[in-house]
Formats: sequence, structure tokens, C-alpha cells
Amino acid sequence: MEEINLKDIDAKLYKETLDNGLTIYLLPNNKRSNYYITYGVRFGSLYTNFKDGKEEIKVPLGIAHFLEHKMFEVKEGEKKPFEFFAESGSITNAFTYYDHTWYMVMGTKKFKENLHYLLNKINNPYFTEENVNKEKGIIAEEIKRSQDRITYKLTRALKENTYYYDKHKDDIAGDIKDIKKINPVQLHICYNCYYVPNNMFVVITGNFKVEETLDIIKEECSSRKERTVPKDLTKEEPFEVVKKEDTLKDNSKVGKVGLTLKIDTSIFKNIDKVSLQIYLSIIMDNILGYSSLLANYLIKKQLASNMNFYGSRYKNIAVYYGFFYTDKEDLLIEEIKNKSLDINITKEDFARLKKTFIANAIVNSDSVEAMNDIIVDQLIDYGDVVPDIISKIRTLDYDTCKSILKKIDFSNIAIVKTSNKK
Amino acid sequence: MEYIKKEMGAYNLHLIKTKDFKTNRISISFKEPIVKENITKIKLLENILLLSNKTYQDSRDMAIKQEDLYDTIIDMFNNRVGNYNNLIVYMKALNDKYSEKGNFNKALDFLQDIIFNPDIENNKFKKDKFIIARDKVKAEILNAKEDSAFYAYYRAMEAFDKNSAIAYNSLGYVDDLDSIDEANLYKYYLELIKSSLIDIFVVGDIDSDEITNYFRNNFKIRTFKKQRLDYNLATFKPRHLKLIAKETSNYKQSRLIAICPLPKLSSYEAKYVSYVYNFILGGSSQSHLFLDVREKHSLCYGIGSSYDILDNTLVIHAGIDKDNFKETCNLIEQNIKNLRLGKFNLDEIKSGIEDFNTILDSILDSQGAIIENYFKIALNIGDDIETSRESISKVSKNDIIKLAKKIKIDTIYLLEGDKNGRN
Repeated sequence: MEEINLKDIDAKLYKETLDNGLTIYLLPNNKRSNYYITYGVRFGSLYTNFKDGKEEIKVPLGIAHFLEHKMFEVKEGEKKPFEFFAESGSITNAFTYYDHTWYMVMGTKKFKENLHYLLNKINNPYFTEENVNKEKGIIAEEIKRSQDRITYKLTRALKENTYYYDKHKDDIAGDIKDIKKINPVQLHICYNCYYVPNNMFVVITGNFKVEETLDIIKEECSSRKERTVPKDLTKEEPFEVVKKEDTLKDNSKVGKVGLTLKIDTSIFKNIDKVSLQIYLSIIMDNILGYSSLLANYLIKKQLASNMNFYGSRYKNIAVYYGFFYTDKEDLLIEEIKNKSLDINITKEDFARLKKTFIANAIVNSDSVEAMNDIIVDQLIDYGDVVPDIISKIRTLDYDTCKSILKKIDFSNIAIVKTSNKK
Repeated sequence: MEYIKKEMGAYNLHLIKTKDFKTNRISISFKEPIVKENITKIKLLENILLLSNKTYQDSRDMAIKQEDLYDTIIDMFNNRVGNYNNLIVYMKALNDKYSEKGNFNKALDFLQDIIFNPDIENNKFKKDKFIIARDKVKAEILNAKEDSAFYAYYRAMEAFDKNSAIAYNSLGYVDDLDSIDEANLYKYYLELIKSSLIDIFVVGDIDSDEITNYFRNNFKIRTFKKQRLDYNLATFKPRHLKLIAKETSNYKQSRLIAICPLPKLSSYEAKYVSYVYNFILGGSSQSHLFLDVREKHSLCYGIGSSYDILDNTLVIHAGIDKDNFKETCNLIEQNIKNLRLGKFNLDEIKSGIEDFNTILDSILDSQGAIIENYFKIALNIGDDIETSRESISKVSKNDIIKLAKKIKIDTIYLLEGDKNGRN
């Protein structure tokens, strides 16, 4: 087992890869009562068309999320996971993302029993025609709930105007018409292709003992067989946005403008992925964050009452989303276009924002849950944990940041406004 | 962990010393008897105080200052605790050991600057800042009205008792914005600072004497106050006949809210028995409502119940298809009845108790939870960890049945969705 010293946050991380390829990360923190277990798989909503060996397979949109719902199904008479975990006052849940899915248990008691149970359950699925059909009503209501969200239509329109082929443009849960097509055979295919140890990971943070934990994971997972993961057949995504400007019919009383900036990250050849991501985050924070000149200008001129932004990265494309609440949609868009011509970052801004990234990394280390999330994110984004993230942030330099900023094509944006029907 | 409560006259200072975190947290609670018309003013105050002050003249200066202090977070929000509006001013700052010497004290200076040095001239807030805050509050209220869960919840409460504080939302009202200006908002600010009941919680690796002196010298509130009104809302008089209120909408999903008013409960029933009862009925993923309405009948994705100790009410909520309204109502009624008849087992009680114990175990894992726990004790709706652990362990089947017999649906509200969804 590899022992990694996380000196910036006074912690030790233990890493092990089993012979079958399952990767395990253990970050004990015995100052806490809680433990947080995640068992995850690199399979999410993006994968609906893939090649397994020589066979091309197409499955409906939303199948990864449907599969997640069905993984806690048990045979007649067996104790259900919710009931099992509740007996020790533990909480369980599962989440599907675009490129991964994970199952979690959080609690303060019965760590060993809960770990055994979770791993065993995910390693032994049970799908029947009946339990699959039963789930369709539940997921349909989940989909309807998310489609009723106030920014849903705007986000959806933005994605459609940003992506050509990449399934980031679709909802993770799919649409009701998609899930109606799902059957147990398809679920088994996805499970057998992707839920294999070399495509999965266990991350545990919080209060537990390292050695006995590793023994349990080995006991539950060692006998599982390694298998080649299918090749994703989704067409390569072009770097250009699909449509630069669009209007969305909306009855909302609050006008909104959304934008995406699509960045080709393959042009930054000499910068490692981790540093590049932090540089881009600093740049975007400086453009759209609370302390940005743009936010200050839009608020002062009463062009936006509120704004927020976030980013997503996949393969060689980074996409940043910005949302503005406004009743002057056209003026706002005009200003954004004007301001995007003279985007800059000063040495002071860079140093200050760098400090906030360091502070955040330290703050997160206090939380068992946040540290688990961070390890999973790093595994998905970079393929491994970044043990020296704080030191890495400290070494970032202003000149590199400026050179990255210069290379970003700020004209590659998609803007969607809501129609003014107030 | 060491806890000290200091009565400073105009406010209570709760100091919680612990070395288990890399940040220090402060939460200042300003409580005043809730008045519907004041809620919008409080929302405006939150926004205007965070927008600028005498030293930092605009939102960018304020944001830069926070970033300079190693991303110190300072925020405000308000919620209703029973009969009171509760404005929380909150700060999270890195401990000096993980930032630089003096960082925490500088953050404290900034916090008190935000509270006590607002951006005013001639005894009123500046017009331009006022307008920015007003536009933001207005947009937030309008946005929330378009959030079906938020809208349905407060419409349900209005149907239940529109005159009670239970129906007041904490974002405010667009209609009230017209009567508020920069002068009367400033007047209200002075009044709020002067007359609120104030509790200050500080948790982290702190020197208790230093913090006490800091507040004594800098927290410029000297008025003594007495609590004249109970935190608990008065109990509701149940209707003889159940009220069913429906409203149409163009959302895809329908929202069902059922409200059960409770009579006055004993402290033990309110703090402990109700927790286990709610856990079994709809407060968990193995609750009767979850297993029956969602898992067995596939009628919804989200269903649950919650009990509010200060409001004396239990509220059940579900997101359903409008065609399933009647069936869902019948199932909810049946599940409530089942608990009244004692149709639940001892394992479920045990799980409810264990769930509560996990919450107790987890308190010391988070500064937020530590503050929340002492806040509940201050409001007299919670006990210390050991008393809580002992009390919850005593909850019996008889206790739950006794409580279950007091629970009856009074009002059902349905925000009816439209098959086709919004336009």
C-alpha cells in the first residue's frame, strides 16, 4: 500500500490498486466521528453508444441514472439497503454524473458491516422486468421535477447551442420517452461492460482503521474479474459552439441571459492538466466572479441584479457557464460583447485569487465529505489524486496565466436570452 | 471542546473552543418578533449591508477584501424561528495558523465594519445602493415565486392559516417594496440593531478572553432587552372538516402539501418522540410514506414529512402526477392511521433512535452543527448532547402511539401541474 503524505493539510492518504485494477484511496481522520464511503464507477450519462469487442451497442439516454436507481434492488425477502443502513443510523445515497456514478454510505457506527454490505450490493445486481418497470413512474416524476426548475429551459438551450455530439447537451436522467425504452437486458449489458473492477474505485474518508478496511475491500472485491472497458463511439466534439446567439420563449417574470464559453484545452500543450484547470478557474473567476470588473460594472449600471458561473471539463474541452438575471437582456449582451474584447488580469488580481484557491483547499480538508468529493473529482478529472495541490497552486505564475488568457478565443461563446414577455 | 456562555448585557456571547478545525466561525443571531411588513426590509438590509460600507465603497471592493482575507466568507440570511424573525450574520475565516498572523482579527474588524458602518449619508442609505439592493430582492422574490416547491409550500400555509406567521415567507413581498425607501430602511436598521435579542456564537481555536474583550470593545450595542414573546407559535385550532385547496399551474409536476397541526406537546414529546414518529412516517428513506407511496405504488420520486417544534405542525410533501392525487391522499391518510394503530415495529423505533444518535455523534464534526446545537439550546428547543442521547433512548412504542393519536391532516393543498408543462 502506498502512503502519501499530504503535508499541507496534516493528513496521510493510503493508495492501493488490487490485481484486478480496482483503485482504493483511504484518507483516515480520527478527529471526526463520521466516515464517508464511496464506491464509484467511470460510467455516466455520456455513454450510450459504445463498442464492446466487435459489437456496437446503443442504449437509451438516461440509462446510467436508471441503473443507479436499480442497484439497490434486492430479492424477495432480503433486507433492503435503506433498511440495513438505517439500523445503524447511517445514510445512503447514490449520484449519477455525466462521466461517473457513485454510491455512498455515511455514518458513525457499524463501519465494517456497512462497508461489506455496500460493496457486496453493488457487486451483485438484481434486475427483473417487474422491478425495472416499477421504477419508470418514480424516475418520470424525478425528471418532471428537474424540468420544472426555473433555469432548466435556459440551461438546456445553452447546452444545445454549445455541443454538437457530446451528450453533455442532454439531461443526465434522459427524458420520459427515453426511460420508457429501458429494459433489464440493457441494464445488464451496461453493468457487465462498465461495472468492472478496473473501471471502479473505492474512496473512504473519516473515522476508520486503514488495515481492516483494506482487508474488507479485498474480501468483497478481489475475486471480481478485470475486463476491457468498451470504446465510446460518440463522435469527436468540434471546438466551435453550435449557435452563437439565440432567444428562448419564456413566461418568466425575471429576464435571464445565459452564456457558455467553449475552450479548446488541447492548445495549451506545455501545461499539465491540473495546473491548467486552476489557471482557467482563476481566469474565469476574474472575469465572472464577485470581484470581477464585469460583475461590478453590470451591478452598478443596473444591467444585472445577480449573476453566477460554473465550469465543466471533459476531454479536451472546457465549458464555462454564466447566468445573469436582468430586465435589460439586449443591453446586457451588448456590454458583455464589448467587455470581452479587453479582458485582462493584473498581477494583484492573480495573486489574490490564487490565495483564495489555497484557502479553499485548506478549508475543505476539515470536512470528511468534502475530501471524499475532492478525491473522486481528481480521480475522474486526472486519473489519480493530486497529493500536493496546495504546493501546486503556490507555484502557479502570473506570466503563464497571462499567456493562457491571451490564447483563449473569447468569441467562441453561445448566448441565449429569454424573450421579453413581461 | 470547551463551552462558555457570557451574558454581556445587550447580548449573549457563546464561546466554543476547539482545536479540531482550521477555520473559526461566527454566527450572530438578531431575533425580533416577526412582522410581515418587516421581512422585505430585512431582505433589503442583508443586501445593502453586504454591497458596500463606509470603508469599502462598492461590491468589488467588498469582494476583494474578503478574498484578501484568505477567502473569508461573510454572509447574511434570515429565517423564521416560531414567532421571531431571525437574521443571521455569518463569518468563516481561516485560522491564523493556516493563513497569516492577524488574519482572524482583520476578518473580525471587517465583520463589525459591515454591521456597524453602513454606507449612509444624511441619515439614509445611499440612493444608488438602495436601488441595486431593491432590484436584487425583487428578482429573488419573483424567481422564488416561479419555483414550484417554494410557491406551493407558502400557498399551502396560506390556505391553512393565512393570518399566522407560519404563512410568511422569508424572502419578502414585491408589494412591500413600494413603501420602503432609503430613509425608512435606515431607520429600521437602527431599530433592529437596538431592539433585537442577540446571541453571538464563536467556534474555533480561540482565546476566550481575547474574543470577549474584542466584542466588549467593538460590538457597539448597549441596550438591555427582555424576551417578551414566546418563541413557540400558539397552537392552531384544527378545523372540523378537512380543507382541500387546489390551484392550477403550468408546471409539469403537481405538488401536494398536507398540514397536520399539533396540540401543545410536552418538552420530551416535542424534542424526542416527534423525531422518531417523523422518522417512521416520512422522515427517512425507509419511512412508511417512502416505502408505500414511492416504492410500492411508484407514485412519486420525492415524498417526506417534517416536524417543526416551534410551529407545532407536521408537514407532508410529495411531487406527483395530478391524476394520482386521490390515490396519494388515501395512502398518506392510511399510513398516518397505521401509526395511530401501532402498526410499526420496534426495529423502526430503534432505527429512528440510531438516526438521532448519528446526528448527535456528528455535531462535533462540523462547526456549523456545533453552533446549531447551542442555538437550539438557547431557544429552549434542544438539550446538550448527553441529555439528548439519554432522552431519545427512552422513546417507546407507547410514546409514539400516544403522539400518533394527536396527528390528523387539517389541510391538503395541491398545486396542480399541467401534462404539457410550461409553455
